[in-house]
Amino acid sequence: MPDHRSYQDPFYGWTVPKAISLCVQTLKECSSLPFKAIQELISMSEDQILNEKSSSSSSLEVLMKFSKDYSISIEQLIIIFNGFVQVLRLALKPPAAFLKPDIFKDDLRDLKFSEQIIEAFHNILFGTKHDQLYHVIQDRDRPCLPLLKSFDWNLDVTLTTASLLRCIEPLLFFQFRTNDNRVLTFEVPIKRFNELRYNTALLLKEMEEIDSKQTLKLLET
Amino acid sequence: MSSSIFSDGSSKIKTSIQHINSLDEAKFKKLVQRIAEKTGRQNETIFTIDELNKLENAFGLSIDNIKQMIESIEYMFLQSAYHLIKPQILENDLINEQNFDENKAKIFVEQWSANAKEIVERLKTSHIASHSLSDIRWTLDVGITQGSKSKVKRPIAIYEFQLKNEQTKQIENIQTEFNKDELYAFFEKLESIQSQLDTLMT
Repeated sequence: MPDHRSYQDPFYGWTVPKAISLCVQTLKECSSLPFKAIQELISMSEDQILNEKSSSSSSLEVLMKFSKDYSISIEQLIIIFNGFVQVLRLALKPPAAFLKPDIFKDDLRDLKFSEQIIEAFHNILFGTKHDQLYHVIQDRDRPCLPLLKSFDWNLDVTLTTASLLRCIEPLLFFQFRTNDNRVLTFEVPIKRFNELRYNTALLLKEMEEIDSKQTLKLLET
Repeated sequence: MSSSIFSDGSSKIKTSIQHINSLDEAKFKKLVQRIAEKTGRQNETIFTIDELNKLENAFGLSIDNIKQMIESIEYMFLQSAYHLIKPQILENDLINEQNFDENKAKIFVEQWSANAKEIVERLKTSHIASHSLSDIRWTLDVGITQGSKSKVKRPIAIYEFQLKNEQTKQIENIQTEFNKDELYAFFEKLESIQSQLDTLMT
């Protein structure tokens, strides 16, 4: 069985990222930090990825508390925490099928993390939140055009207008709410509605056919 | 007791009709033809200032009288459209109630019959909403890699909805993206609208 190092690059890239090497070095310097605290930092880094916006202030509080309790400077704690978050982000970057558990652990050993830490990382990456982590990294952390949050419609029949005594025309109204909080209310002429429907069906068919296109087969993971 | 469909027109129509009756028939026909083409179009003037000047010379009437005449003819077309009046009834109305010259009435009714469908169609589709959907554009992209993930295969449909503001005629472009599931949900909604349209129209 050839060593995975001969056919697969380590998950962190060709060279050890500065953030991670600093983290390992600082961990060595802070020997007074008990594993319990390290464990907590590692699960905080998982939170950091999952709940980007809400966790920053609470993590800072925890770091300040550790700094006081174990008389370690806050900068060193931040370096360690940042390193842990980087490890997770880089581990989530390659497709899930590529990074098997033992390859992951070997790579972490090459980085000179202690066995306890390696076990903790392994449990997080392959634990219960595995799917959620991958989903967040893939779908949330990318540039994104506005999404349609809600789409309401109104179909009325115009019976009579100021210009026509007997009319009987359908009147279609849409209201789009996008996730950048715009509300758009507009009338849709029936001709445009038919175009929209036809084009949407066409798009769906094209999307289905993507899987069968030769060039994109290269992206099978 | 007038049963004319033009009975709520003012006395301006009466004077215009007098002018009409005095016009040369060929010129009247062309005038009516032109007005019929433009009736019902929103925010469009029927004749430009230059054209009005030319008409002044051609008809030997003052610009005010010409304008009045054009307005009256347009009004008559709009009223005919409002009631969806049949040609024969229109002819009787013009000749008997409005004192139209017989030949001129025939010309008018001819033009009405020829253009009625289009005029009504234009009036039916004129919008009063503030915004309406004027165009739809789309692309289908496939994301293959991104900063946070090295290898993905993500088809994304990007739609650009062009909304036209009816007052200012300005176009606003709204772009949205849909992944496969979102696009499917969108399509299902469109299908339910279509089925409602179908039950409505039967």
